[in-house]
Parts: sequence; structure tokens; C-alpha cells
Amino acid sequence: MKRNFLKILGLLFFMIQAVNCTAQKKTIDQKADSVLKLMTLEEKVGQMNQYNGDWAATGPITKDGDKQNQIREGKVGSMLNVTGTGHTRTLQEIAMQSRLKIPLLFGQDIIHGYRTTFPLPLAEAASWDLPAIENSARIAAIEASAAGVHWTFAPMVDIARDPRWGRVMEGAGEDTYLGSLIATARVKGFQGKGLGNIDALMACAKHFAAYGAAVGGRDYNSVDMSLRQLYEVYLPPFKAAANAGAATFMNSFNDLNGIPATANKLLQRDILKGQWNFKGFVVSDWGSVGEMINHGYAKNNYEAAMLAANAGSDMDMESRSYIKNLATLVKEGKVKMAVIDEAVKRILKKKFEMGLFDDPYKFCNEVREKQQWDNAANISFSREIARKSIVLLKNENQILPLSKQIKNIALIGPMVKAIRENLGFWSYSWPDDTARIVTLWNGVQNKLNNSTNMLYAKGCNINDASKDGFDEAVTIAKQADVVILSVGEAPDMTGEAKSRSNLHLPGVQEDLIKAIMATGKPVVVLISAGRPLVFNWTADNVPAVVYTWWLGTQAGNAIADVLFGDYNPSGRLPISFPRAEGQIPVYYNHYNTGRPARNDSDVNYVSAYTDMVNSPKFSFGYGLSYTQFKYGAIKLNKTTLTAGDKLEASVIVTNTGNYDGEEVVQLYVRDMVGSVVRPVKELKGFQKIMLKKGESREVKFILSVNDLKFYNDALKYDWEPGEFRIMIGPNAGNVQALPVQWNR
Amino acid sequence: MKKVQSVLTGLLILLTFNIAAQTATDAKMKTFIDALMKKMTLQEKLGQLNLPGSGDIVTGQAGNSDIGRKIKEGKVGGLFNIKTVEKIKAVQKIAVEESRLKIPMIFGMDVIHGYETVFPIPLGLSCTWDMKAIERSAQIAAQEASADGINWTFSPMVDIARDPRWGRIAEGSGEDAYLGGQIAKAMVNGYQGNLSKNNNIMSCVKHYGMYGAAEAGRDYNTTDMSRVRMYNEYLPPYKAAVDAGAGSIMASFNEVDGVPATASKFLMTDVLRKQWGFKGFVVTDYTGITEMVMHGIGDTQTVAARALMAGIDMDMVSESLLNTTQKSLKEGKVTLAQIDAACRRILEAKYKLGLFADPYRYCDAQRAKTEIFTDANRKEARSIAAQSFVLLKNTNNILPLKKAGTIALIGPLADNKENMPGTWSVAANFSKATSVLTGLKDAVGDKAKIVYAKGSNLDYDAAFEERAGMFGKSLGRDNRPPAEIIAEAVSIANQSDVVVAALGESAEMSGECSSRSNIEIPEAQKDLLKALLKTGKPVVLVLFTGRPLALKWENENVPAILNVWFGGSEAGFAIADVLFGDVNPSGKLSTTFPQNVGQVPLYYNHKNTGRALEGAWFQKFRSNYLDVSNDPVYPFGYGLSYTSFNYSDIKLSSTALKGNQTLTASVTVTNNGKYDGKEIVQLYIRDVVGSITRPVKELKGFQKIELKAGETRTVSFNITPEDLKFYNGDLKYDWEAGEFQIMIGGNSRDVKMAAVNWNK
Repeated sequence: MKRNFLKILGLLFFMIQAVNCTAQKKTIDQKADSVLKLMTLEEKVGQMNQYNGDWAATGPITKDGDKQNQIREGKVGSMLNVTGTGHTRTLQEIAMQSRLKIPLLFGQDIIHGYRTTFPLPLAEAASWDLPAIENSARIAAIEASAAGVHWTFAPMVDIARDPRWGRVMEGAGEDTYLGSLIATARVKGFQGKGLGNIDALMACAKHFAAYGAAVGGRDYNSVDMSLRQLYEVYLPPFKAAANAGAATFMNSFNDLNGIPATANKLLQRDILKGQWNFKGFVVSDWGSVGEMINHGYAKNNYEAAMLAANAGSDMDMESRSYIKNLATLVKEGKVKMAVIDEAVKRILKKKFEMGLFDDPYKFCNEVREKQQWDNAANISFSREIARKSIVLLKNENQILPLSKQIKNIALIGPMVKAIRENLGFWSYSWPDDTARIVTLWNGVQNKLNNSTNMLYAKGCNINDASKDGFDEAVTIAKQADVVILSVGEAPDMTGEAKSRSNLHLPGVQEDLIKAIMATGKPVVVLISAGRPLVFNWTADNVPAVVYTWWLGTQAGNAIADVLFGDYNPSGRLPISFPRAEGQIPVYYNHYNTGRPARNDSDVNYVSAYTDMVNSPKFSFGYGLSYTQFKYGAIKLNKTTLTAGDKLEASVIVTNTGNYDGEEVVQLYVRDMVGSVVRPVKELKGFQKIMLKKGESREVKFILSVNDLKFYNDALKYDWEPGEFRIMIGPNAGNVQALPVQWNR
Repeated sequence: MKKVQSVLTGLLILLTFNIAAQTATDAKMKTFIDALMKKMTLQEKLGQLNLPGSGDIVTGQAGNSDIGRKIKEGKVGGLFNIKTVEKIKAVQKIAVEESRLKIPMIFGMDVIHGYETVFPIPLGLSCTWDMKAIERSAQIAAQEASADGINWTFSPMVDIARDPRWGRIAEGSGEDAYLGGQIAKAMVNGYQGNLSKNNNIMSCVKHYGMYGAAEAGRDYNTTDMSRVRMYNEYLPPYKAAVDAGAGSIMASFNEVDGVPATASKFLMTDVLRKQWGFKGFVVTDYTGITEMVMHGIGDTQTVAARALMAGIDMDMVSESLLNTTQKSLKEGKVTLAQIDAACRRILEAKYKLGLFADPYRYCDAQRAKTEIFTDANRKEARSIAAQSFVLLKNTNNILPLKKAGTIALIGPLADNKENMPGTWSVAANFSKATSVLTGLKDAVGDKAKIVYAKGSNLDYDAAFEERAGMFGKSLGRDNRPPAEIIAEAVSIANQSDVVVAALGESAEMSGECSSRSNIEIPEAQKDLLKALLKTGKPVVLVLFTGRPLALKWENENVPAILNVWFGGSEAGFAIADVLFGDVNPSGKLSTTFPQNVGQVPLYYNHKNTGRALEGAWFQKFRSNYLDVSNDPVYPFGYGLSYTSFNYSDIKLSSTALKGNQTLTASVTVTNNGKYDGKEIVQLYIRDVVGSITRPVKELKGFQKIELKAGETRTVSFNITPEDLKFYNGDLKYDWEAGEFQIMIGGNSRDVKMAAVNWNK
């Protein structure tokens, strides 16, 4: 009886829980409706309005006191660039003085970390380590949410095939498949166990869409492509982000096929909110509603507001087009009240989901903020993902790893003692940066005991013509047993509006490398950059080259871990490295054309240059380890398949070198004949495996017809039977292949 | 009033008569072809679709060759790249005497910019902006080619090209759809006339479509763009050629939106025939059909069937239509109606060329002797060549040169005949071309001394130089150490009053499959140029090129630059004419010259973007590069004269217009320099707000005028809503009311501007 009673009690409890759950689900929708009913048109438009908080200033808003009044009047739905529990609380308190007390959303560019900075997103993509990438976003969310932030304008999921474009640093590179997986990982990382949890940030997939295809690689420039390419190459990472539950989307600055993304109905209404059934809201990019006047798409802000709202842009970031015009537009019948209601409801629902109606100060907990400040676990993880992001491009004669017993080591180059630079673009400055950021110099110092003599010379600056420091650098190099040469771009040479037409090492750095090489000393070149650079001489002549991107707070330690072999590098390029600017765009998953060059010396009446081979300097997927991996032959479970079959493709990978190490085993597929032309290969799977030295392991990939699907001429997503080539290898430029026949 | 009326009536009668006559001819042609096709077997129909590679037909042996056998069997519709009346007559004889139905063949050839009398490469020709001259060049080409037995040319190439890496930019009219359309029309008219005479030949517009948008400027590479861009920016020149009555069109190698053009029903049927009403036939480019196997859309039979069903009529070289179509028909992969339609179009072309009436119409052996490479033709070629040169820079009026003192002529292209005709000059006789050295010597006679040195090789890389000198166009490699070659030139320069440096690209550095990733003057020649500048002598750069080059350094350091492209068989004379001022240069660029390859693509009629750079480069959070401004070195439409022209502000007939009114925009242009000269006055329009984003400016008119020194003239443009039309997001061709900026100037950068409001 007693037991029964307990059982019943348990059951009752469970039932109440269940009822609560459904009630809650319904309630958010209903609650949003009930709030909506209370709102005046002006208050609704207010929810669609987002202002900047002049973040760089000491207070939350100093430049424009009027913004505070507008918050009080219910004319602001969200603020960006306001952080810290104190500042966000101050503004939220003002919002609570508004008639309906609708809480503000605080958005912020949390791109690769907040207090603890992680590698650039492009660098993280080079780790091919999805759990690590997810965790990086997770920690960023934990730190930022503890500092009052609700919403990050990340992940950036734009496919980019043009390294001139400065924002290539902010994405996951050139590949749609890898990009989609990383988009998913980042969304999950930011949003954690889901909105409403205290440490979940709302993610924002951006920039919707095709922003990365700017003409000439020049930021903000026009984009033009066929719809098929849009669906096939550029949209999937967005779709992945939407499927992963991204709370919001940001539209992009560019016009796409003549229509600015901000007012693009096809993108926002038909695809995102229609085909993909996206339930979140869409925010404009900074000022992009008003910028449609410059595009020549709207006559004035009034028209711009009408076009953007009708096309499905729910929130206006900073252009003030909505707040000034939407109410009038509704009154004049140019924008339907239903459009406004839908947008506002999408925004309100997110505020409910975040729990802000229950407690507007939910994220204003000073104690939590302090706990997450310089949290040791976060910092330690920063070092871990930083070293995973490093790509070893060349290591002739196994010059790396270095011995810690080395007598004299010279560190030369403009990056050796660089501090804040290590954080890269889209990062935050703090007063104590000098103390907390680990420079290359510090990192190496941490590895060595007093018996090693560390020598330093700057050699030159990043980007000027002076060779005055060369003599000193050469003198220093001559005293050393090994030279670490740290060169690259300045961190603000990539990022927003940071396009370059020249992708070579800036200034006289390559001359410095030549001067140091002339000493005959063993040289290791480290390249810091936010994009693929062109450094053919270095790649051809220097025995060891390591791509170190911008790695964040723990950069120096991470690089030193790799240099001295405490970590065996495992990064693989998520983007092709061209041999010259004149080769751009070069990407691995191109079409075959009707006249493909069979190899790099095949030039007559084939698709080739007269002065340049077609292959990249370093392929997509490329990267070395201190150990070597041998691939056995591909084994297939069958070579003729039908629709419901699963193809198992496996290889035995053996670590034949002298170190334990990780390998990223990559699977590519080519659809040999299609109703439309198909890429020469497409990444369809990869596994990052750890092998002890001497160890062998079978790596198996399982494919179904779902992996063969693409958008055909009618934009239908389907697969077509026929021959497929299954390719497995360590990078896109080095695979073995077997054919299979896959029938309906 | 009455007079006007009677003229109008007259015109109307003439028009009606013409239409009636046309209809009568069409009806006659239809009756004839209907009757013929009734007799044809399926095999014979497929034979008409076949344009095999002929190989070299040995005189007198045609009948015994493999091709002769096929002709007898009715398996050949035409041949290409075979010339001379003797050879053509011999094979035609087989067709009309030994094949069952005696259907004559059509004879095609790559007559691209002249025949034996060679005109400037098309990119150069386009810089004349002189439609009469361009038409005349095509007319002369047709005259000479037809005198050698040819009745069909694979020209004009009308591909819009915005990427100077692409080698075939040399073969087209540059980056602008409007100018390109005008030139397409002039070329078609020049070649074809009304196809009534035996010195008219049928034109073939190519490469349909979008071939010039090859990704990364690499020939044959993928193109991808939106439909709206296609319709507004790439298709207009093809359409202009079709509207002008082009008899045939060639499918391009590239794929568009994932479908090779050769299998694109959208292009070949929906747009070309249904929307544009094209009545001619479509030929593939070389093995365009079988290359689709490499594209990855099927095996030979599949791709041949796809091509036919897409609307391809004639198969060049691959013979896959001939060999697989019967099987495809049996398997239901193609229809007999499609085969019949293709066959009919080819027979119609032959009918229009008068070949059924006289298969030897173009085989007049006498004409070959009297109409090819004549003095008259050469004279016109020389004059047109001089018009195609673009004076890029002329500091302190170094040019024109005096025919006096000592002139050093230096450079790898200074004493070379073979490269003067340029790429795609298959009928040229290189030994008859004129080098710069010959031209200069001829011009100065004994008034001045011309001294010559080579100065450098084309390129430091001998292997590259060899590739760049194919088709017998070698520059002759000088194997001495580079320093020695330069020293020799410097010593000659030091003894002279002025240095003319003739350098740049060789002819085959542009053209088909001649893409470059580096678009600068080769380093060996740059080093020579630097050494020559160091002498302190005035240096005039006579620049040979088949593409826009990146000339930032040259523009900053060389006092005078004359871009001479590849001027044709008379290049040397024409260059001398301009250098010495016998002809005042008047050419204007039809492409933008970028500062560096990292700026590519750079074109004047780009969109504004939402964050356009306003004011001086660099600005944060604007669309610009960190390391180079958005400006070209030389903008579209740019070119100097020995004289100078002043533009007044624009006068408008009205600033508020409605409906179909006409706006007259005029400027007064004054020749305020010391020479008589020609100026190309250009009209650009910007549609300030559109239902799609619109270019910052678009060329909508131009007038090439000649002004005596000191003369002033008013130049007026009449603008109607027709000039404001574009394809909107729904691909509807219409204009939209609103504000328009009217711009007039001497190039696309330096314009005067006035605004109008145009309401519906």
C-alpha cells in the first residue's frame, strides 16, 4: 500500500511535470500573443529596433543620452555592444521603467571568445575537431552570459573561396560540408543545453547569405551567382545552423543577384522562414537597412524600412529606418500589421525563451561574472584548442620538434614579442592584456630551463620598407643553433573591411627570411595570419614552416607545445592556399570542365594558365604531423549498390613514424556523371584519430544515398544513380580512389 | 510636311516590298528544302549536321581521302579551316557530283580580324569606337576570304570579358554590353551584307554564352552567374548579333549554372530561338559535344542526344551526332522532328548563301588573284590600325616625335613581323607583315636615323617564351646574358635623342588557352625599361598586348605610353603614322586597366554596394582594399589625343520627363589644343533607384567627332525610355520611373553630370 502510494505519488508528480511542460510550451506562444495584444503600434516597432551601446565608452551609453529615453519609452527592443553585469543592469532597469516593461536583449560580437580568447574561427576550423570547436563556443557563451550578454552575433558560416576577403578569418573556410558541421557545433556550443539556461547565449547565423562571394574579394561588394550554386555551396551551412536551433539569423550587407540581402524575400521569407521553417528572428547587419539607399534599391529610409520589413528582416540594427518609418508605413498600408506582429512575436518569444520576462536581470549576476573571469579551466582549454589549430606545412629533415636541451635558440621577427596581436581581429581588449596574454617569447621561455640561451631580434616591422634591423637579426641568428622566425600579417589585416589585393607577406618580411636563411642556420618559420597567404619562396626554401594563424590568449604556450613536441601538430587546412593572387579563386571542389588539365604540366588547349599551374600551393585538408601515416588500400563492402544499401569504405591507417599522433582521415566522393556537372570531389566524411607510434587502425566510413544528394537543375535535392568514385586520403590533393556503381 | 509624308510613304512602300520579297524568298526556299528533305535518308540528314575536321587535303587527292569518302556517302555537311579555291572546289565537286543528293557543302574558317590583310585584334578594333571602320574591316575580311573559297566565318566573338587574365579577351570587344552590342552588329553587317553577293560570307556569333566569365580567368573554366546578370550584362551582344541577322551561332565550351552550354536547352532554344527568334543554325565549338563527357554529364551517346535536343544543329569535329543519333532515335532519346529541324536550318544556310544555285559561287580563281591583300585593303587596314591605338600617357607632349635626329628603337617586338598580326590570324602571311622597324624607317626616310637593339628577350623563362611564340611567332631567343643584351640597348639609347621601346606581350600570350595569372609586362622587359629610363633620354613605350595589363609602375615612371595591341599586317606603318603625328591617336579603351591582378575583376559598370567608397581611399568600413585603391590605372573609355578637348556642362532639354518623351542632352566640346583631332564623346546613364540594384553608370551612347584645332561643336544625345530599360528581377525588360543621372565625358571616369526625373 505504502509502496503503491509512493508509486501513485510518483506518477502524479510525473503527470504534473508533463502538464507543466506542455503548458510552458504553449505558454510561450500564448504569452507572446498576450504581450503583443497589449502593445501599441509604436511599442511593437520599438521591439524591432536595436541600438549600439557605444561599447568602447566607459558607461553603457554616453554618446547619445536620447537612447536611454527611447528605452524608457519602449522604443528599443535590443542593445548591442553593452557588456558587464553592471552596464546591462543599468539599461535593463531603464527598460523596466517603460510602460510594458519588456526586457531588452543584449547582443554582442562574441566571435572567438570573450575574456578568454580562442583561435580565429578559421584557425579553429583547421582543428577539424568538432567537440573542441563546440566547447570553444560553449566557454565563450559561459563567460559572456556571465557578463550580461544574451546574444552573440556568431557563428559566421559564410563559405569563402577568396582569400583576399578579410572576413575569411571569421568563417570555417571553403567547404560546405565541413562548414555545415562546424556551424552546427558552434550553434550548439553557444546555446548549450538550450535557451533559458543561465549559460546559454542565443546564436546568430550570419551573414545571410553568400556574403563570402564578394566580387574581387572586396568586402561589402556585390555578389552574383546562380541559384543552384547558392543552394549547393553557400546555403547549406546556414541550413545546418537553422537545424541546430540557431535562435537568430543576421542578413548580409551584399546585394545578391541585384537584391540586397536585407530586403531579399527569396532568402528570408521563402527559404529561411518558409522552406526551412525557421522560428527565430532575423536581425539586419549594422545599418544594412539604411544602406539600401546606397545600393540604389531604396529611395530613402522610409522605402528601405518598407522593403526590409516586408522581406522578413525582423530587427533593424542601428539604421533607425524602422523606428522612424514603420508605424507610418503601417498606417499608410505599405506594411501590413501582420508583418509587424509576426516580427515582434518572433522577438518576444526569444525573450521569453531566454527567461527574461521572468527575471530581466537573470544574466546580471556579479558573482557568476567573477567566477568566470580568468577561469583556469577556460584558459587551459584555450591552450588546448590553440595547439589543435596549428598547421604544420613543412618539416624537412624532421627539424621539428626541437629539443628542450638546445643551447642557443634565436627568436626573430616582428611577432615574437607581439602581445595583443595574438588575439586577432574580433576580440576584446582588457587593461591587463600585457600580463595575461602569453607571447611566443613567453611560451618558449616556459619550456626551457636556464641552460638554454634565448636570443631575440625583431628584424623588421610587419609592414614597412625598413631593413635596418636585418644586420642585428643576422648577427643574432649566427649565434644560435636554431632560429624561430615569426612573421605574418598584422591582425587587423584580416577582419571586416580588411580586404587585401596582395596576399604576400607584408613589408620586407620575406627578405628577412632570406637574410636569415643565408646564415645557413636551421630555420623554422611561423606564419601568423587570418587568411591563406602567398609565400612561395619561404615554402620552397625554408625547411620548416608552421601556420599559426592568430591563436588567442594562450598563443605562445600553444606554439611552444608544438615546437618542442609536447603536442604533435594535427591541424589541417580548411581552405586552399593559392600560389598567386592571379590564381584566385582556387578551391578543391571545382568542376572538371570539358578540357581539364591532366596534371600540372598539361597546358595545351586545356583549362590552364600559361604561367602558372592549376594546383594550389597547399591543398584543402593538408597538414603534417611529426609522425607519418601510411594508408592501406581502400576496402569496400560492395561495389554495386542499390538505393537502400549502405556502402562501407575503410582503410587501415598505420602510424609508421616515431611519435604518437593524430591524423584526419578524409573521405571524398565524386559523382562521375550528373544531370548537371558535379565537383571533382566533395568532402563527405572525416575522422580525426589518435594512433600510437606503430599502431594501425581500420577507419570506416558508412555512406548512404543521402550522402550523394545535390541540387539539380530544377533545384530539387536528390541523388542520381550511376558511377561514384570513393576517395580516401590525408588531404584533397592526395587520395586513393575506387569506383562503385549505385543503382536506384 | 508634305515632303516628310511622301518620304514616309516611300519608306513604308519600300519596307512592305522588302517584307513581301523576303516572304516570297522564304516561301521559295521552303518549297525547295521541303522537296529536298523528302528525298533524304536519316543518314543523309545526320550527314548535314556533321562538320568534321578536314585535316590537310592534298591537292588532287581529295577524292581518295577519308574525308572524300565520307563526302561521297553524304556524311559531311561542311568543312572548315581549308582554304584556296583549288582545294575547296575539289572537295565541293565530290559533294555535288558524287554524293547521292548532290548537296553542296559550306566552308568555314576562323576569319577573326581580317584574312590575309589583317586588321587589329578585335580588342584593339573595339577601341576605335568607329562602327563604320569595324564594319569595313569585316567587309574586307569577307571579300578576301570569299575570294579564297570560304563562305562562313567563326566570327564575331562577342563575349563580354571583365577578367584580363583570360587570354581570349583579345578576341572580343571588351567589358561593355552596349559597345559590345554595337560592334557585334557592325561585324555581322560587314561580313554578311545581305548575303546577296559572292563577297559576303555568313557570320557565326560566338561563344554562346557567357564564355568570357570563366572563373579565375582560366580558359574553358566554369562560369556561374544569376539569370539577371546574364540578361543585363552578358547576353546583349549575342542578341544584337542575332537581331542583325547573324546566320549562325557557336555554342561555348563552358558550363553555365552547371549545364554545359552545348547541352543547354535554356540557352539554345528558350532564349535563342523562342525569345530572340533566331532563325539560323547553331554549331558547336570544336569537340564541344564530346567534351561534355569530361564535364561529367554522360557518355558520348548521351551527350550527343542532349546537345541535339537542346538545340545544337551542327557538330564540329566530334562526329558524335553522326555516329550515335540513329541509336538515340531508336531508343527514344531524340526525336526525328529535332533532327529534321537541325538539318533544315543547315540547308537553309546553304540556300541563303546561294550554294544550291551555284555550289562554286565562292570559287572564282580570278578573285583570289585580284582581291586578296590588295593595296587598297592594306591601306584601309593601316588607317584602321592607327585608329585602334590608345595613347595612355604623353607627359610634356613627347609625342608626336619629330622626323629628325637619332631615334633608338629598342625591344623584343621592335624588329618582328610574325607577331604583328596578333592571335587568331590563321590566313596571315607573316612574311608580308610590317615590323615597327620597317614602319619607322619607311616614315623617316633619310630625315632621321633609326638605330635598333633588341634589349631583352620576351621573358627570362625560355620555356615560357617558347610557349608564347607558337604558330611560327617566335621572337628569336637571344642567349647572351640578360645584362649584356640590356647593355647593348643602353649604349644605343645613350647615342640617341629619343628612345622608342617596343615591348609587352607576344601575340600568343593572349588568345585561346593563353590565360595568364600575372598580367604585368614580363620582368625581363621591365628590367630593360628601367635601364632605358635610367639613361635620362625621353622614353616612349610602344606597348603590345592582347589584354589589359597592370601598368601601375609604367604609368608612374614612363613619360609616354602608346598601346598598340596587335595592329595587323600593317601594324608597323600604322605605328609610325601615330608616333610621328601623321595620324593623331583617337582610340579609347574598351576595358578597364587594373592596378594589379588582385583587383580583378574591375569594371566601370559595377554596382554601388551599400558601403561604397566615397572620397579618397582608404576608409574604414567601406568597400575597399587595405593595400590598393578601387581605381583602375586607366578607366573604361579612356584615351588621349595629341590635342586636348574641353567639355562644357551638360545642357538638358528638360529635367522632368514623362512617358515616351525624348530627352536631349548636349555638351559643347572644344578642341583647345594644337592639333586637329578626333574625340569619342561618351554618354552614360545611372538609374539611381531600381527594383534591382543598378550599375553606377552604363554607356548608352557615343559619338566620334573630328574637331580642327580651336574648333567647337555641340554634341547632342537623344534619350528615350528605351535607353532606360533593363531586365528586372522577373527578367522583364522595362524601365522604371524615378531619378536618372545623365553623364557625358571623354571617358567613364571624367564626366559631367546632370539629373533628371522621369515619370511614367
